[in-house]
Amino acid sequence: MADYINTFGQKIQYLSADPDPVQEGQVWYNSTSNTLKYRGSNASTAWASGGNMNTGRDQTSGAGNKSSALAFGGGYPAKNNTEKYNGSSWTEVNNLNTGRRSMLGFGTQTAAIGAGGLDGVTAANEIWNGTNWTEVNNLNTAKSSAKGVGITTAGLAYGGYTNTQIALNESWNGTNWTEIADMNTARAALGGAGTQGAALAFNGGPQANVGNGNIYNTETWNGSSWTEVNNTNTASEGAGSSGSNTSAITYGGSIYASSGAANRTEQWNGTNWTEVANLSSGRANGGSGSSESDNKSAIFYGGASNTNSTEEFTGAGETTKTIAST
Amino acid sequence: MTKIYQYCVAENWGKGFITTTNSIKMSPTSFPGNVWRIAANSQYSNKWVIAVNGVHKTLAQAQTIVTAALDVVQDAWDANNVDGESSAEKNSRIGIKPPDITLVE
Repeated sequence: MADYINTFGQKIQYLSADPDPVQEGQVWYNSTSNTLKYRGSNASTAWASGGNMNTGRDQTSGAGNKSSALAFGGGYPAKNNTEKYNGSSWTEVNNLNTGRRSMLGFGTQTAAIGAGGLDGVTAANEIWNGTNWTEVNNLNTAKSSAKGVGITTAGLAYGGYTNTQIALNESWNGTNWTEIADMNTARAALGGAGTQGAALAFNGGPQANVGNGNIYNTETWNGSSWTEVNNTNTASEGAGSSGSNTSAITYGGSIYASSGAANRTEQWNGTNWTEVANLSSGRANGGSGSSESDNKSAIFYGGASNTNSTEEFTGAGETTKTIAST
Repeated sequence: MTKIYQYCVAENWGKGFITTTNSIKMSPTSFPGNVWRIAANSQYSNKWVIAVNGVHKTLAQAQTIVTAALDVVQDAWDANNVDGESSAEKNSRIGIKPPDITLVE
């Protein structure tokens, strides 16, 4: 304790956001998420089982992170169910206004966006305030199986499927969607990570679940244009993904070459993709925690065959951990 | 031939069923029918099977369970059709048909 006092001060810091930079051993209270956190380290990478969802679902969407996640929609048939996760169990909360599957989702457990999707392809857009979903302005282009990143006041939606895979890219400012520079490679059911101004797109295919023509390509977004960078090791679609554009992770997915769901996991370090510990179950089209900050923490839930299982990833090295939340 | 894997049946109850340490030490993989493949010749694996109220299965027994569970899912997939729907549209709606699985030791 004496070392902690000398390094960080006598009292635990009370902060509105996680500190940046953060040091190993540092402890703080995040007054926005009401969580006590610390920066620790792990020796190796591994997946572990998490709490089972109340409603198993394929093609579900998500927001939040491993200790504070939000799952919404899914199907077939299309569901409007929403559940929140506290790091150990899922709880049913208020439903979407419009049930659908293969939506794009981003944000946190208390402030999220769910847009597009299928029950008939739609441009519908809803915002979650921690209690209820409210319909807000639609996407410019109705689409399913697109990727969304960011927060409720600054989001990005790219790729997806209309009647073919698309490269379209739309920016959300909290009120309206605006079309901006397209990706280089059209793709649906793609992976992605990052923020509105610094995103990553990888993998994907012609359409969710069709599985013919999986893509390896990775592209980075700097706020104005997309640039091709090094490919993933495995071409897939419908994989889970999260992190930032310099520290991302992808897991599972549908792989046409092997006619099945994968349990592979790959980490992106800003330059290359590296294969690490596998999921315990091969699965595609599950939900991910879109607000994970890096490739050392991830959550994957639901997926093909309407499974209700959850897996949680812990990576090697320094990582921010939640001690308690209220 | 030395076995690499062994099999058991156990129901995944959720949080705590497989810990990160379990994953690192025995590389668990799940299959239909609540069948789990874990590292063979391992006291750690055997203790985990007991801890999760699992039941050890031979390769043949595990294969029978997986095949039976897959048959149910595959039959349901075959029967789930919409008039005028293409195969690609069906794949998009409910996913690709779950493929056969052959277990190995």
